[in-house]
Amino acid sequence: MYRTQLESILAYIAKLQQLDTSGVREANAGSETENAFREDVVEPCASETREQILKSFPRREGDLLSVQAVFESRTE
Amino acid sequence: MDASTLTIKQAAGLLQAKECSSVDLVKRSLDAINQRNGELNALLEISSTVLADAKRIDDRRANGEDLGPLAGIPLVTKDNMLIQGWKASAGSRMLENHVSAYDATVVGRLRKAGMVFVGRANMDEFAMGSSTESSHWGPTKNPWDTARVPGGSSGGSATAVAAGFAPCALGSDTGGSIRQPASLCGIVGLKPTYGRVSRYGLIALASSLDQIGPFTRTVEDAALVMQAMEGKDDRDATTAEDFETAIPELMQKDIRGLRIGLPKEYFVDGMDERVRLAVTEAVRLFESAGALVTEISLPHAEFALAVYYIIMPAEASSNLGRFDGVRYGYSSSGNSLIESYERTRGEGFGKEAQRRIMLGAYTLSAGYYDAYYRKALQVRALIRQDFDRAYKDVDVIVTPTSPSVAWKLGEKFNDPLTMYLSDIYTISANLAGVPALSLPCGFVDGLPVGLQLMGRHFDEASLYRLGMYYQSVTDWHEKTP
Repeated sequence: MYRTQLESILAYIAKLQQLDTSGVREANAGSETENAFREDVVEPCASETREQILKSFPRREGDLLSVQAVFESRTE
Repeated sequence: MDASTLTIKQAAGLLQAKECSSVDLVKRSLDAINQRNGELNALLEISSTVLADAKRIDDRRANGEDLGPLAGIPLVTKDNMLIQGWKASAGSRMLENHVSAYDATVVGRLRKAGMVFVGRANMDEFAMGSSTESSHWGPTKNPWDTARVPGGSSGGSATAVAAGFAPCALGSDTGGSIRQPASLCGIVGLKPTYGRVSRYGLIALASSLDQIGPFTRTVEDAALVMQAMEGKDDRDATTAEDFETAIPELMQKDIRGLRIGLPKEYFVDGMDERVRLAVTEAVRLFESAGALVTEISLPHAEFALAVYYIIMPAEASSNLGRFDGVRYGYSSSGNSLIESYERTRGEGFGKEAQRRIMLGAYTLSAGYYDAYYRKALQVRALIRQDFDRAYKDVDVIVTPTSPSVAWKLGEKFNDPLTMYLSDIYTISANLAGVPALSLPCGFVDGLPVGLQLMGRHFDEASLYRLGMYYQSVTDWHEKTP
């Protein structure tokens, strides 16, 4: 199913190829705003926010997020 | 008091005059919800504290506090907006049990304005859809005909307002997800200028296109909600600061001299003739009230949908990369990390999300980047130039919102390209970043038709002016299902 659906979508978006866009500057973002900077300081978050984020961890050890090893197969 | 047609302005008047309380308004909302939500599936969850929240506003008013026009007004939010302690699933199994750790900026601002949060509304999974059928929680039904779709992706929010669950709901619009359901449900929907409203706390679909906006019964109400919601936010670097707030009370009541453009590329094949007629009628009305109507050209309009279906999936595939089952959300484990990723994403994402992730990953891949993604960014620039050029001669561009009225459930569900084509009139505004408003302008076979008004960047004021004038001389917005 994906194959025929994606094929029809790709065929449709291929219509852009008929346009000559040489020399056109790309519109990279949603607006023309320049980079926005702020001071590089840590802002503490509310304790309820922190608690909820910890609660959302699928696996945790204390307040730490427990993750699977990247390069090994699971041994347990 | 008929809660199903009550506007924010009317409700605010009643509250101010102490003719009703916020608790009364909320009870009316809950009655309407109890009556029809089972059938419509518009709301996924009702707040357990909504009556207490309303009571608190009533108490503050009773204590003589001077509260603004939104204080005590019930509001429905979309399931992709974070409210601390509430679930936010974005219509997906991936986040079915996810609880928000903080408030979205718009939520904080509207709460500060005193709005009362009633519940969260159904939506297409991750806002990917035009019918609200791709939700993990089942489809929402159109209140005008429950065999039909309400549009999407903010179909739950639109249905909630149309069915009288609340006078206002929030939606998000990436390619038409506020305006198209507003059109199919017969209410007002606004996609603000990109950068007017903070996206902080909105679960992202395509970050360069997404904007949050209101659903209401009247244009004036939409402007009221925008006043409280818009503005610079340090937590969303794309928000702008140097624009003017449009205040309905101070606006010109007539539309004499306003210049309206009809893009010839939009009024072609594929549009329901009766939709065309309804829009033409509205334009005639504008003309007789002194507006100057001319035909204009947006030469790259025919490429907008193709551009959109490259840029949106590309950004979506990047944004959805965060759902890996490691830190939050659905998590399925396998024997290796890769297998865990595969299981989590294979089981957690629905079909449309998977389709768009594949499409986005493909058009961003090394061999195809130039042919698809870079090309699309260039054509996006051309589309923006089209609008800039048109706005030298006109103030507002008028089109239909959707080429047809609401279609039957299931009709386009397995044919994504046909589904995508239903957004043909709305996506250009997102690509160009301009504001666009949909308001009801008639009926076809008992189903609402929507009129779309598009303006210059940050010139929502002209859309309000034209829309408010239209609603002062028509009564389409007073019809209820």
